[in-house]
Amino acid sequence: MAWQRVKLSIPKRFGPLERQAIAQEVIDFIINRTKSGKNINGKSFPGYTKEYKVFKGSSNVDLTLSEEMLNAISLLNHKSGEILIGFDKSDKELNGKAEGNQLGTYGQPTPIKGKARPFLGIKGEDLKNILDQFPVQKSEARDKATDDLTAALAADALVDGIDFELPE
Amino acid sequence: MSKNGDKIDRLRKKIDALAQQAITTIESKRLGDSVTETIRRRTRQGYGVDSAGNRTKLKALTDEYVETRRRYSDDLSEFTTPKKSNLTATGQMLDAMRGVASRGRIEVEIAGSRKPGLGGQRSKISNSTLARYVQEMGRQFFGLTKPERTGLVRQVKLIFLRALRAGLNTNK
Repeated sequence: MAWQRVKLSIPKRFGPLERQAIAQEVIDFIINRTKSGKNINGKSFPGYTKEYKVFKGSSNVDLTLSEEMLNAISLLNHKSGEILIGFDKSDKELNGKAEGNQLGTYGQPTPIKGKARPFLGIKGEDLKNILDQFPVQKSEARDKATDDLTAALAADALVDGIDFELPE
Repeated sequence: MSKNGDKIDRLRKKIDALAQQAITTIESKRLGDSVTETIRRRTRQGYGVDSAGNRTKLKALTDEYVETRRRYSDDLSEFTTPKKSNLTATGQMLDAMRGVASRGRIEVEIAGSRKPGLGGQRSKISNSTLARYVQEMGRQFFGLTKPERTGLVRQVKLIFLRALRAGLNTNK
């Protein structure tokens, strides 16, 4: 089983803050596109088997059962001109699940014909659309990245504040 | 205060203001309901959550309880079977989970008292008390797994981003 990750080249003008923000936008894009049933190239995923549809309780091909796999996609590393997105190398189960979808193996030694559902990646033009949202002016790009990361921090704090204690 | 301390303080204030302004009571209720729906769906599939946020299979039912459920199978919810361990008999407890409208926060609760259970048996305890009991008995379910939490953070982040891009004034 191979480590599931994708390396994306981005312009070197983006600093660390912008790279993190771009990575978050790319991850959001991958998740939204996958949930809408489309693969990296924007084509519909092959359908589920009859048995799996019954098990899942839906025929919607969105690679989402427990939401575990898609929510585990994260920024693994970044450096000037490059971001690395994918699954934590140490999580064998999730890497196996992702590889099964990417190649269409699903636990088999060789891919099952017509069952590959490549989702971890982004088309050049889609990446360009994201990058185009980041202004060329360094200070403006930084402001946008700051907004992105402030939103992420605020969201984290809000979710951390949920109280699941049940009253006596 | 140091320069860094100053920056952190400003960021904290900005985050607080953002939550107060972007999380309206309607948004808060919607998010709370979304949290409880996530918990409900996972629990019905037979999974709970441990204190570290890992998804765990719910403990199997005892033979005696499976027998009781068989006896009253007509009263069982459509989301379960006599043998299935998914914290669902009549389904009241999971259905009683809901979001609470609370500006700037996400709140969830398990509300209400219990209607008669299997075989019409009356109960004086509340849904919340029952939930606490099943958790104490080793079936923790009321919480979010790490991936569920990540998904929720992503959902909330988009709300905040929209607010920031709409030029929300957080410079207070």
